Amino acid sequence: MLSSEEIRVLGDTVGPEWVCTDPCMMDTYSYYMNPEIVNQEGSLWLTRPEAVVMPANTREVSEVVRLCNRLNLMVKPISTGWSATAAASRDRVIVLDLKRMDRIIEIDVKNQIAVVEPYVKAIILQTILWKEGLNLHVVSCGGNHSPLASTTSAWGTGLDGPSMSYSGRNLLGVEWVLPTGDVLILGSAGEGAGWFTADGPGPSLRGIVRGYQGAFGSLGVFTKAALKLYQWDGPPEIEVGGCSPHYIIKDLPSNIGLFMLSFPDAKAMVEAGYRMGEAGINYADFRLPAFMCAIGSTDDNLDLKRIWETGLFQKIANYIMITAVIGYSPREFEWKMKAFRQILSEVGGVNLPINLPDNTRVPERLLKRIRRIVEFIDDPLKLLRKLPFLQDLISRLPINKRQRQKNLSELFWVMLRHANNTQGNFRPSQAMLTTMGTFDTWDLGIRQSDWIAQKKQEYIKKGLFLDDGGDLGCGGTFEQGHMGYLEGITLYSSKDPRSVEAAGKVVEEAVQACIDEAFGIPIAGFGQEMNAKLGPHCGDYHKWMKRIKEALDPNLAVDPFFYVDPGKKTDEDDSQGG
Amino acid sequence: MGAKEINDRLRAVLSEDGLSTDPDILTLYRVANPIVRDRVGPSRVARPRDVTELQNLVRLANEQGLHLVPVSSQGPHGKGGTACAEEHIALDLSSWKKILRTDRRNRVCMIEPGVTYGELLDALEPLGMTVPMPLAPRSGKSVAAAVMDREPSTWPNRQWDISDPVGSTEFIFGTGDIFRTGAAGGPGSLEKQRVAGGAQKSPMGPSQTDFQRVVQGSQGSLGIVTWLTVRTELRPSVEGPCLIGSDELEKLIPFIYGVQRPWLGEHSFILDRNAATLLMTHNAPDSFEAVTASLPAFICLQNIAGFERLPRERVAYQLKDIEEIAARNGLALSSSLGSVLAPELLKAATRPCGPRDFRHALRGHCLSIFFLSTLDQSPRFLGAIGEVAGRHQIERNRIGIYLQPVVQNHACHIEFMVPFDPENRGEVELMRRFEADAVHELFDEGAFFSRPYGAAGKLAFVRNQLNNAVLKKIKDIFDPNRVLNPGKFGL
Ligand SMILES: Cc1cc2nc3c(=O)[nH]c(=O)nc-3n(C[C@H](O)[C@H](O)[C@H](O)COP(=O)(O)OP(=O)(O)OC[C@H]3O[C@@H](n4cnc5c(N)ncnc54)[C@H](O)[C@@H]3O)c2cc1C
Repeated sequence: MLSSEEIRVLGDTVGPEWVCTDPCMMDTYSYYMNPEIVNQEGSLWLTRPEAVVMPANTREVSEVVRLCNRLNLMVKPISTGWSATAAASRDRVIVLDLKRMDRIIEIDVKNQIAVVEPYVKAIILQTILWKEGLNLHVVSCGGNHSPLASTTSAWGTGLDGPSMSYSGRNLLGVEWVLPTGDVLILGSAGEGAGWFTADGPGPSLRGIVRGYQGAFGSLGVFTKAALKLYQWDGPPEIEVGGCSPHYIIKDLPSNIGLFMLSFPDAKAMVEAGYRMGEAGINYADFRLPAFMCAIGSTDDNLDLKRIWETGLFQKIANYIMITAVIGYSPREFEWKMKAFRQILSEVGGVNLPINLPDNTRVPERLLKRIRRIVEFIDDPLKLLRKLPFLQDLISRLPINKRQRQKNLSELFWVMLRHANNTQGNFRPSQAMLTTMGTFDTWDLGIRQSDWIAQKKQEYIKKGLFLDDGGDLGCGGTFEQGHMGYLEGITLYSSKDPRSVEAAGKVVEEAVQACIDEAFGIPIAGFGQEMNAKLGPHCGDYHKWMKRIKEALDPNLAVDPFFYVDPGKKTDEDDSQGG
Repeated sequence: MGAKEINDRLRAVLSEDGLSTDPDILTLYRVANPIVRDRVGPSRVARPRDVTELQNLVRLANEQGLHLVPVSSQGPHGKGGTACAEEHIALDLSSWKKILRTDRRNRVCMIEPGVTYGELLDALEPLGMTVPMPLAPRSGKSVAAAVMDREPSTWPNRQWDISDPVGSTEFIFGTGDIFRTGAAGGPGSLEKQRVAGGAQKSPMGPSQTDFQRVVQGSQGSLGIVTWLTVRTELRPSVEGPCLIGSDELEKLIPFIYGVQRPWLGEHSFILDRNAATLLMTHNAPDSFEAVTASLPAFICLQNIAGFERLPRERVAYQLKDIEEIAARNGLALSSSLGSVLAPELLKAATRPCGPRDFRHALRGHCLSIFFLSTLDQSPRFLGAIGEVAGRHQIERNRIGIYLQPVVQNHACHIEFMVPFDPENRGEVELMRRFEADAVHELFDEGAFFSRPYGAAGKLAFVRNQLNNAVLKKIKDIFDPNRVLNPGKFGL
């Protein structure tokens, strides 16, 4: 517990009303996704912070960090708080909630750069940017995350990867309150030359700020970030009707195409990813596993169960990519669509007509019939595959207009507005976890997702994980097919201790597979424990990180848990060699 | 320890012929730039044969307090990246010439540090690939040296991040430890990673680190690259390069923004008539005057290309879209301007120019001052350089200008070229004074010397002292004994 004197000095810094120690408030900062897997006793709660402090500006952040150096406290920054890595890891940690720092400092429309504070949410920035013909990369947890946190400190995969890359690669400048409290601005902005590059002069400290993953708040607090923006050729705003959970957009402009593509097998899907990438066709793409298609097309678990049991999704949706194509001009759109159709026909992909009836509304009797018929058909899409013109023809038929609009809207929300139904993933089993997710090639992504899909079967058979068919490999391509990534999701029950135990086990097995099969560093490959495990197989990077942490944070004033804890014996002594 | 003893120790870790002390050879490693002063030439040249030898050499340097300056390009070394203030050994990796891997599917290749652009282009061409490269590099220029120095390429819309096209790397820190970055960082051997479907293409990692970025731009002062992967692109199968000329730079700028924003076209840059002529006449400098006289003040080269898929249709639609943007800005696309033909300019820009830097052909040498800003700011810098030139009685029309949008036109490399006679001591002295003055003036105007050379080397590290302090901490970690290019950037 903080002493009243400590609370007072913190209050002197940010104003007493911005320091909180109420236990019920502290609990809201210790409840995140997946803690039951990490906690020994399966608790759903992470460590309660000693206090939550809400600074208004960089100066206050710096002063609080300096205080922590003096008072033997640690800070833990949080921006929008999506990630469990925003939680305190031990006693004497105060959470620095950056909600009051929500200013868009600058939008340089010409040079496509936005300078933002931590609590600027992606969706808000995007709304403003669209009006300027600009867009930003948004990660697929949803549009209400902090682009600053993702870009400086976390991961960064999102559906718009083909056209807007990965968060870590979009950092053009950063203001950084070091663990000592000093304020460092990297790159051109640090010289007062503008926020156009975070690298240099000479060696780039951006390589210390983050790698594939960020430092998750363990190297200080980022108070401003310059984000690389991109061209937006869609409308400045979009007219919307309907109500939750189905907001319906009015017609799309003719230079935007949103598609749901079904491929006969993994090979065809992979091939399409490479070819579309090379031709620069996709604005956004996402491999949507069959079970997630089923989740997405239902509003409740009962409907989900009914349609999943028809077996239809398992036949047509095993290898689905959703894709957005946008043309700068009608000519460009036409060219892209021609190339798109060419590729689909080369690999045997089907552009699923999105005006087909919604089978969740189909009566039970009919569903049973569908199930029986589906059993006898290997490839329900064969005809469409053989006769590609039928795909377009059906799409154009003036039938099921409402259905078409609903489906189009869903694709629009997910791919372009990042209004993801993240919650939906939790609906069937109350908990989900993710594994694998190394970032390199699209081929490697598929291999990883195959591995985890198979591994999960053991647990599904024992009833420990929800039977989602096994393959929940989610991800897509990046930078016009130059890179790719897939992570493997598992649906488990946070209430069933056996399921939780299995969840922990599968995460460990996946990490071990990354080592044994040389899949690379997985999404979970960060933080004290994982780095100690993976580091020895990867040039002992954790030892270098330890030295960096020691050099930058001599008084250990910033919570080190999700990076490397220099206070603990883990590295030099435990290392098995690089 | 005496010189002989050191040589013996060096010979013990290097294979036969791995060490040179011959003064004639040492001269080849001196910075061939009369403007660069106060530099010590190398006392020896070490040529390790492989990584083991290299690592042993770095360890020996740590033990014996020796200094190493990595060199990957073949001479002449003109910019001053290999300049070192202290006695040192030139660590020559220019004979490490293996192209270890080319991967058409993942559009990537893996090369050793001595591979030059010409060699790499030759290896990629049969596979239908190419690589973004600096404007007409000299033929001895190492790809690794260029990309590890963040040299701009002429293909801006293929550069997503300033670190591109570097993928994964392997390097040896000043401590002698070997390290792999990006997807190559592990776990597992490179071969095993490939069996799993990886291609060592991602530059990020391992995990929460991006040490490749720290080594990049360090001019050999933090790590010695032993190999790296480089992102490649498909080779255009059809090209329709165009030229857009104007006597006013301000007219070309909006055009570039218009084309770059939606990633239309391919290679793209602006040269003023002097720089364009330097490039086009480096094999026939006598024609310099005639060619310059035929050109408008500024020329933009805009390449348009088709690749493997529907190439002609691609060129056709892009041409129309780009024509429209030009028309909106009161400009027109042409296939030639004066005596310069678009395909020839493209060819000159995207191939090695020969053994000597094309900038040097006219007068024997050339002062280059370059930095980053944004394209819209460039006229301000042109004004500033003109003023400084005036102060030094340098005719404004002697200066060549090269504007290269980088990172999908989020920034712009701005370069001023002043050809001079290296044998004329007065002129060399003038260039020295001019450079020092110009760099100060440009710096005050907001130039960002991201790759600091020459007079910018010191100035770039003056304003952001905290950045330097942190860099020093990092140098303490990666090269605590100051083995690698000591004193570089004051580290
Ligand atoms: C269901 C779900 C799905 C997800 N899907 C994705 C996905 O598809 N792709 C993806 O990339 N991520 C995903 N994530 C992870 C996470 O949501 C994102 O990476 C997000 O960008 C981080 O969350 P945030 O922006 O809310 O930041 P926070 O949760 O506030 O912070 C994230 C980390 O950064 C640190 N941090 C935050 N602000 C600062 C700061 N100003 N200075 C220093 N450190 C700071 C925090 O301490 C924390 O460690 C998902 C998470 C969930 C729960």
